Amino acid sequence: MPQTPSLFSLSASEAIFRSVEWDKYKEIVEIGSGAYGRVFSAVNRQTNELVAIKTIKLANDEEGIPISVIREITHLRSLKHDNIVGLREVFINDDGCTLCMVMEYVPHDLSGIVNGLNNVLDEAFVKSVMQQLLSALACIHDSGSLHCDLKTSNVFIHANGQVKLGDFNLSRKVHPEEFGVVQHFSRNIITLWYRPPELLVDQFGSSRYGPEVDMWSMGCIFAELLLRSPLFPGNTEVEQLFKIIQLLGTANQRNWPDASKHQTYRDHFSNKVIPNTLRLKFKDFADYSPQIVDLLEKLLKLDPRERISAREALKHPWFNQAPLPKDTSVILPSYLTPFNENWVKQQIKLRQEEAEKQNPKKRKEYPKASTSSSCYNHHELENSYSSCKKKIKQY
Amino acid sequence: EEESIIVQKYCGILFEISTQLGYPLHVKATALSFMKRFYLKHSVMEYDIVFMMLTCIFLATKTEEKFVALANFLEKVNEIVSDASSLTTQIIFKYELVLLQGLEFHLMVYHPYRSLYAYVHDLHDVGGDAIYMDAQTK
Repeated sequence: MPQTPSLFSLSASEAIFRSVEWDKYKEIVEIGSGAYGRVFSAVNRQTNELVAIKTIKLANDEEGIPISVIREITHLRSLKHDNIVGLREVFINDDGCTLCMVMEYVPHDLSGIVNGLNNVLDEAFVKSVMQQLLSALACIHDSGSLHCDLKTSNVFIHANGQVKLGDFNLSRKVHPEEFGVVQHFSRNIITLWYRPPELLVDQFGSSRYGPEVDMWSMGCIFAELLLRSPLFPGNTEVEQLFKIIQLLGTANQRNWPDASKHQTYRDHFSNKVIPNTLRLKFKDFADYSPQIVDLLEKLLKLDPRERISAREALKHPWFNQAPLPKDTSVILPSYLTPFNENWVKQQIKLRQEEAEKQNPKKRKEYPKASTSSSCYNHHELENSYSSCKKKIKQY
Repeated sequence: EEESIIVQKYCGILFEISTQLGYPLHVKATALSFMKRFYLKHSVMEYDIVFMMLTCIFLATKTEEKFVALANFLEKVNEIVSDASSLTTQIIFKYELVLLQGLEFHLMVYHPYRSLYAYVHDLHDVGGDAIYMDAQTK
């Protein structure tokens, strides 16, 4: 085996890479930092496109390039869709230990809209968001991948209302059953609030999962857009399962025959019968448009095999009813005040600080306040929804 | 040319090594595609092909969700390949970056196995178990 002279040429080529790639951009401003590294916004000199440059420090630890980064690059590189965040280019910095991903800059995300701008959430807007998301998801599923981390803070949105699905850190490929490969799925895919029941009850992570897990998360996002607060905000896996069962009722032979096979499910629900209260909770919407609740019901099926697929959901009659998704007249504020996850965190922090000032004694109880604030949202919801209705009628 | 012969030869070796490491077919196939893609752009004179071959396998385990810790990976490789003792984590890091750049970060590999398996499955439906078993052994 020859000794490698290549290591010399390596550092030389990287120096070239650096100077070429960074020079393409101007007005580089740091906009945030995460676990892996810093994020910059910049403008492409040639196309004048605003981009976000995510730098990822490659610490020389045991594993080389983090697997989540590899996943994200793998999927973003292969997926080209109007509603998926575009990966413009990837390059490695001159020092050889910073990976830079150039992506299109999308200022807002849905969690920010839900929390900060919920007056824009009228039916046409929700419909337009759902349609764009479902078409992105259909594209992902058709290419044999799963997103596996759908949540409102991963749905980015342009000021003109164009939705971009992002954050493929957890996404993976699925192989058809005939492949003869036992796929080792971690149960810890998908943020808890958006995790489907089959993942919650399955203790060993031995079952096979498919696109249905993403569709459940879609249902949760849909409900969150309607309610303006998360549908199942559980803190632990068991609590999460309880919240789901409380809304959708206990499983029986008809709606989820496989449930009784799982130990976790038997432990908690074997002797209970809880009715399905989904239609009750969304009664206001059902009165207004029965199709909304129909679609929600199809997305939030306990049995993964009965859950609607992204392609089927796109054909749902709701999308052909007035107001049509293209009717949305929503124009979000410019990118100077991004409504995104960070903004929400800041707001929560601010509110907490204010509350602490007002009554310092209650400080310890405050973490529980999230539930009370969601109740508050719930009251507010009816008011704001009826105002939405008025708006729509005015149309 | 001579170079393509060398690459061909090492592709064969790559396949053998990854079989011995016990990786499923799609990992092997992805590693092979990485290697072939990389040496379309680069010469075997530039980068050591043995190191690159092992890096290809390592990267393929990452993209195909069969990830093993690098230390374990190296341990196993050392058991199988006698002259790989000079392979260190540092070299894998360096080569991983070079490989990613060489591939221009196109890491998704679509394999024809999916269609093949579907075809075998269809055969099974049509002709019963006998043909199915026959096709599987082939």
